[in-house]
Amino acid sequence: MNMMFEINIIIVSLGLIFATVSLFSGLQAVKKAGIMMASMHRLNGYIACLIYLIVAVLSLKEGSGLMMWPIIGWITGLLVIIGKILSVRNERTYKYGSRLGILLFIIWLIIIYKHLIA
Amino acid sequence: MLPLKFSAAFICAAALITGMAGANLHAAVIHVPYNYKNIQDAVSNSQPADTIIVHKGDYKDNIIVEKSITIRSSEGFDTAAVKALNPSNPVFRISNASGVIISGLTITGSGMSGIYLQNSHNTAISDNRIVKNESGILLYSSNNNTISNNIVKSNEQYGIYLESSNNNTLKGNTADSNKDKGIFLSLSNHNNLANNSASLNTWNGIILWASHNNTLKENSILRNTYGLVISDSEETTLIDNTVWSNIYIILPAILVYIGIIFFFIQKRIFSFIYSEK
Repeated sequence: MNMMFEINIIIVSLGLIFATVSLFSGLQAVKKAGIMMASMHRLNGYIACLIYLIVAVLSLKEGSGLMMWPIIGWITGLLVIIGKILSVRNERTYKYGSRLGILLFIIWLIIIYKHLIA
Repeated sequence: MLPLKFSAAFICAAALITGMAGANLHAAVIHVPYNYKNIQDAVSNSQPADTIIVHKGDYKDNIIVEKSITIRSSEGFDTAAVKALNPSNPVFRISNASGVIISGLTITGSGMSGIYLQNSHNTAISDNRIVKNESGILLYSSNNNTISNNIVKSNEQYGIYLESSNNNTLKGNTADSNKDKGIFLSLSNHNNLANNSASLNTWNGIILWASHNNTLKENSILRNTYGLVISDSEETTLIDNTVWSNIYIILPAILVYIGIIFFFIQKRIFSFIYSEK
């Protein structure tokens, strides 16, 4: 029972919750332009991003040394996050924002499967 | 003159006896790689009750232990790793021995098992990390052994396997993420399993087959395909074990559902702030 309440499991679970909220608020923001949904989406997105960084640090710290593939994986995810932020800020690439948002949600699902119990 | 010769002979004899007695009383401490380059050479040249201290480094060896010696690392399993030189043999084979101690090593790379106890008794295996072998720890016809605080993960078959082995104690071990079973007792009776973790194994967490009078206390058995399996086994005592089903599919779905609920709550809060509908 205690294992289910370890800090890394709680953090990863919160990450998926915020990624879900971010996805839904993002889809709503695309559907009807409004400052409220955009603010919600931004807040949830940044919280999910912060949790992503915490999970990455915890995962790399708990693993057996700094391995190449985990680092490449986490950096790739971070590049997708940065790409998503940049795409929604640019009018020409705005249309790719929702696709990258869905990709980020899938990345969170992969993180959940890989790191739910480390 | 005669008394002087007699005295000298007596003193020499006394010194010899004392020296021999001293040699028996004080077991030798052998350092690897300083006294011997590899662990097997140190074992071959050791006497019963000697201690072999393995210092920092990666070693390739298949070690056969047939006498009561202690093999331990100087700084814990993070610094001393032993990989099978011949992958078809165990890294450590303890045969027909009693009172062997193996502690604080990383043991890996065997296509058979990390540690194999055959007809060995009163052995202590503790604080090792045994990963990426065919099986982690195998006991065959071995009784009264203590296996404690080992991390036995990511092995191709079993984490810890006991066959025809009785009165053993398994406590505080982590037998997670093995590709078949975490802990498997076959034809083994009167064993005590306490405070072990057997989670995320591909098939069973803990399985007892044709094993009687075993005690399982406060073990954590989470997210295996089948958590705890007791088959053809009688008089098993179960006390405060935690068994969770495999929630790979369920938990993400629950988290997404919580996320959706949280979205609607957050939307309501934000609509108060922004006065939007």
